[in-house]
Order: sequence, then structure tokens, then C-alpha cells
Amino acid sequence: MNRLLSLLFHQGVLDEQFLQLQQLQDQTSPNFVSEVVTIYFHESEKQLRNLRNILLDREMWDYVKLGIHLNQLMGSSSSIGAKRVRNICAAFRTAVEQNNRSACMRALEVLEHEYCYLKNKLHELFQIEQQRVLGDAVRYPGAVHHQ
Amino acid sequence: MTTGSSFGSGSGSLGCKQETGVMDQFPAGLRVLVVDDDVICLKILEQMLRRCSYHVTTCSQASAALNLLRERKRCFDVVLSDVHMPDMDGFKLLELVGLEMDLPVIMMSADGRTNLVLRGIRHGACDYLIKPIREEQLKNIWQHVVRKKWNENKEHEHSGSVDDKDRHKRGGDDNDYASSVNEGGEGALPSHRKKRNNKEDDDGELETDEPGGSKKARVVWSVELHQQFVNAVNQLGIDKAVPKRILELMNVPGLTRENVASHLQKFRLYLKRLSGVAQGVGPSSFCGSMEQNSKLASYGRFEIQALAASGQIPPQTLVALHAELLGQPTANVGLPVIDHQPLMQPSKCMQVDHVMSYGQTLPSNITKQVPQSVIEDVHSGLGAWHSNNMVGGYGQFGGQNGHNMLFGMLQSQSQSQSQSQQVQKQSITVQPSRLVVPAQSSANFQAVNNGVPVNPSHQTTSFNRSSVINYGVGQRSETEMKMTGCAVDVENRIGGQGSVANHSIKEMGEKQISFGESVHVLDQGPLRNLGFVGKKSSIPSRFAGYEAESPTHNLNYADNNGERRIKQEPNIDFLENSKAGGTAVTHRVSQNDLMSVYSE
Repeated sequence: MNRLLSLLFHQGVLDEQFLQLQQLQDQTSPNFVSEVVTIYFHESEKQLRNLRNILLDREMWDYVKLGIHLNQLMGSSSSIGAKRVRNICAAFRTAVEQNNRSACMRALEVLEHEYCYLKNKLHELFQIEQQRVLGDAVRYPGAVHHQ
Repeated sequence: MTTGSSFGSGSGSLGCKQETGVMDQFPAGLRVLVVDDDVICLKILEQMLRRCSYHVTTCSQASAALNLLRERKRCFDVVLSDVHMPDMDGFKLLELVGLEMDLPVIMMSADGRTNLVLRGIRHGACDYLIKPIREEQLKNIWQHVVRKKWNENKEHEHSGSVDDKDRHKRGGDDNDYASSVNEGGEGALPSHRKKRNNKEDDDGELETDEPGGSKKARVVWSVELHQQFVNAVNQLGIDKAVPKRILELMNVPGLTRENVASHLQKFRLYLKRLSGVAQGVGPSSFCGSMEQNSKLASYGRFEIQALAASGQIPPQTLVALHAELLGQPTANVGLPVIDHQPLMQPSKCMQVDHVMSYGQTLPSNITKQVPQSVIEDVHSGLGAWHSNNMVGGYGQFGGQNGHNMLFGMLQSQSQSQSQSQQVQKQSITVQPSRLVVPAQSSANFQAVNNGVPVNPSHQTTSFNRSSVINYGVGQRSETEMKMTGCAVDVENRIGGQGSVANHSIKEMGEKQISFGESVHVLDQGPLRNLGFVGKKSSIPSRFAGYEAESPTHNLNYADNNGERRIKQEPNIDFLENSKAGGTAVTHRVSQNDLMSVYSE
């Protein structure tokens, strides 16, 4: 496990579910992790936009819809091991259930922040991994590719 | 919309192995349908299931999944479905699949709150997985398929089905060693499998023709059924009762071990609650908590009564339960009922008689064990009730209503004790009015009430005296009715006996001991009859609103209440209601008590 990954674990940004994801990558699905994470980014940004649109409304908030979007974000975040994002979603959900507007606003801010951090770090992680693979290929030309 | 890759996957799911189903390369080759609107989860699950050597088909829409299942009924062995989906509620899908295709359905959700999980189980889910789902969990889902099939076979009680099981088992064992998809396992017992699968098809037919359809529909725990259950449990001994043995003893066609197991779990929680409730009762401030304490205690004792009345609770269990209930007898009975005790003495023998009549079939030895606290609690309970709610519409109550009231009272008693202070406050005011007095004791109690100031602090002495007198004197029959009412309601819950139980059930309009629903009905009926000054306005409107809610909603509340002490998250509904009004909360509380008894 490289240093960045262990750092992310230490920070609680990722949890062991991410490791499960990595283990699912095999010969039949060599790019499994990056594929899943890419979809995750796409979907999450969609949900975050949805959330923000609801919260932008000055008057009526559709709390039910908020809950739905949150639930999905929570599910996908937990499925890839994005622990901190998932926890923020849970707190956000509580705020929604209590109809606490200010708490919801705060939660969204934190959520967006956490998500950005996660996305940046995961990109970094993939870059490191790519470089490592390339490096391996260069260092050991003709060696059996591990993927 | 189906994910193209998996739907027409090259692994042959299109050529649905109809004949060879599960047993082919068991558990490899298990045909799983995954339904989830979250594409990420879908992809991850697909990959995980593939790694378990299962055949995976994914669907991101529930409606599409249903169509798929309907078209190719025999092509799937198990369904994994998310709870929250945009086009259809996961629970609805769950029920439909269970009804139409009789496939095991496993629910999934990021939301792992107990009330939701409970809902899933109630709707018939074989399992409820909380996201994130790990591969190890998916490895075990084949167990649900097997279990379901075995239970169905067992229900048939055909000699053929016994053979099925043997073959099934053999096939299973053989294939366990074939970890990956291969032809070896298939080659092992080809003829057996063929036969078994034909038989399986036959069984399938039989199942559809089965009149009760109880395998497909959820089991309704009627009073009779529950009584059989209780009998079986008592026969085995509550500690040693296992679902399999209970099922055997009950000998009810169409009942599965799983039904019994879940019911047993509820029952155990319920009994635990009885003892837990008693232990929770302690010395507390006079007025409100007194009522609650005594009510709680009397509630518990009525339960014990009922249990005893069924005549089959082993003495040690009864005594143990009772001992727990008694807990601190002085606290229960002494402090709040300080004045009661001396007054109780003379009438004790009377009470015993009442108890006996109430129990109807109470063996005398058990009665003697129980009487004291029961009596006292009845008294204190009644006293408490009356103090706060005089007159009212007592006379209006027919037997059933009275029973229902008492029943409702019983629940609210227990529930109030376990609720936080804010709830208790409200429950104090509302409960007694709901409790009222069952049966035709109206005249009786009115007479009593006249002599008693409404002030609760006075209630104990004067009221009890008169109540004692009334008990003692000539009102036996009414009191009996009342007691019987208690018994009936309590018995309804436990699976009572005698004709009165059935009568009350009819009144309730529900045949099942479903812990939220019957209560729901109960509470509303008698309440409407009540003429509570000041309470009337608030209660019915709340109930009207409440009425609209589905029984499962009650479950949510119940579980919220039950969970209240554990975590904050699920309490939204509860908090909202408490904001809205105390009576509403109380109402829910009382209903929830019934629920929480089983759900906690």
C-alpha cells in the first residue's frame, strides 16, 4: 500500500471497503477500480448538484427529495469506501429529518468540501498507480504484466 | 433499463437453465437478479457476485426487474433489491416477488436503521444487508435459497419431498466442493437432479394450488395460531424452545420454521420486556409515576396472569417472571399505593376469586402465587385511572370496548414508563382517560367516583376504599367482566383462550396478533366512545390522522421509540409528533408499546 493510500486511511477518508474494491480488480476486470470510481464521481456530482439546487430555494425545501438524493449518495459513497463523505451524508440526513435548515446548509458545505478532497486524492492515487505500472514496465521490460 | 453486459451475458443466463436450477453447480451458478437504482452499487455487486461464481443479472429499475422476473420466472434463484428506488418502493417489489414468484428476496440499503430493517423482515425479506456490502455476505446468500426450498418441502409433508431434501442435500454437499463453475458437479448426480427438479416443478404447482397460500403470503398470527405457539413454547420450556421443535409441536400446515423463528423472537422480546418493565419500575414521585408504576406493574401482572391462565407456563418461568416483575415490591406497591396495602388486605380473598374468574382456567396453585401483587396492582391501577378520569363514558362501553380500553391502557402503561419525561407527562394525562374502565362497571364506578375527589393525591385512600368495597360487595360480575376483559386483551396478545377472546378479536376487527395493527384498531374504537373533557378534542383528530397511516408506519414509530435510547437518528417522527401534541405522542407511545415489546 503506498503512502498516499495509507494516509487516506489514516485520515478516515477511505476505509476498508476501498480495499475490497481493489480486490475485486482482477484479470477479467483490470480497470475495475478506476471504472467504478469514475462512475462514482459522475453520479456523486449529479447528486450534489441536486442537493444544492434544492437548498438554493429560499422558501420550500423538498425534504423528501433531499432524503432520496442523500440516500443514494450515502449508498454509493459507502460502497466505494468513502468513509468521511458517507458520514457527512449521515449527519446531513439527520439534519434533514429534523428539518434543520441551517444544519442542512452547513452539512452541504462540508459535504462538497469533503467530496472535492476525496476526488483530488483519488485522482492522485490513480496517477501514482499509473506511474508505478509504467515504471514497472520500464524497469522490467518483458516481465509478465501483473494485470 | 438493464445493464447490457450482464443481461445478455455470455455466461448463459439467457439460456436460463430451467430444468437444472439451483442444484446444478451448487452453490456456484446461483442465478441472482440485482435491482438497484444506484449504478455504482450495481456494478460493485455484479463484480462481487461474479467472483462468487454466481450468474448475475442487473437491473437499475424495479419495474424492469419485475417484468424480467415475470417473463422468466424460473430463471432466477434469488433477488437482491435495494430499498429506496425511484420508480417503486423496494418493499413493494419484495412483496410482489414473494407473492408472484415465491423467490427469496434480500433487501439492501445504505440506511440500516432498525425500523427499516424490521419493515423489510415484515414484508418478507429473507435478509437485509446494509451497505456497504462485503463479498463474504454475498457468498452466503445461497443459504436463503436452500432454506426456502427446504421449508417448502417440509410443509408439504410428502414422502416425496423428504426424498427431495435428501437429494437436495446430497447435491449440495457434492457441489460445495466444486468451488468454481464446472461440469463435474453436474455429472455427479445428473439423474437425481433431473428427478428432483421435476419434483420441484411439481412442488411448485402444488404450492400455487395450496389453498392457504401461506407460504407465499406472510403468516397471520391469529389468536388460535398464537395459542398453539404459546402452548408449544411452554411445553418445551421458554429457554429450550427452538423454532424447529415448536414447528413440530404446532403441526400447522403451511407454517415455516422461519415464521416460527421470527415469531419466537418477538415473543422472547415480549417476555423480556415484561420483566424489564417491572425492573424499570422503582420508587418515584407520587402522582404521575405512581400511576405509571402501578399500571406498569399491573400490566405486567396481567400478562403473567394470562400466561398463567394459559395454564402452561412452567412454574419456574412464571415465578421468575413474577419475581422480576415484583422487583421492588415496596416501590411498586408500597410507595405509590401506600394506602392501598392495608385496604387490600381484607379484600384479598375477593381478589383472588376475581383473579380466578379472570383466569378462568387458572390452576389454583398458580393463582395463589400471583394474587397479591396482581390484586394490588389492579387496585392501584384502577385507582390511578379513576383519579384522573372520572365518569366519562364508562357506561357506554360494551364488553369489547372496555376490554380494548383496558388493553390500550395496559400498553400505554408500559410504554409510558419506558418513555422519557416529556412523554410521560403527556401520558399521564391521556392514559387514564383511555384506560377508563372496561365493561359494565359504569354504575359501579360512578358510585365509587362520586365519593372520590378528583384530586389524585386523594385518590388512593378514599377511592380505594370504595373500590375495595365495590369489589367486595356485589359487583362481582362486572368486575369479573372487567377482569375478563383484561384477560381477554392480554390473552389476545398472548393467544388467549376461551370464547371471550374470540369475541374481542372480532370486535377488534383483526384476527392477528400483529403487534401494531390490532392495537391500532383497539385504540381508536373505545376512544371515540369516551367523553373526555378536554381530551376529546385532541385525541380523535390525532387519531384520525393517525388512522390514515399504514400499520407499517406504526412499526416505524414503535421502533423509533424502542430505539430512542440507543441513537438519535431515527427519532424524527417521534420528535415531530411530540412537537405537535402530547396526546399524539402518547397515542403512538401506547401503540408502540405493543410494538416495542416485540421489536426492541
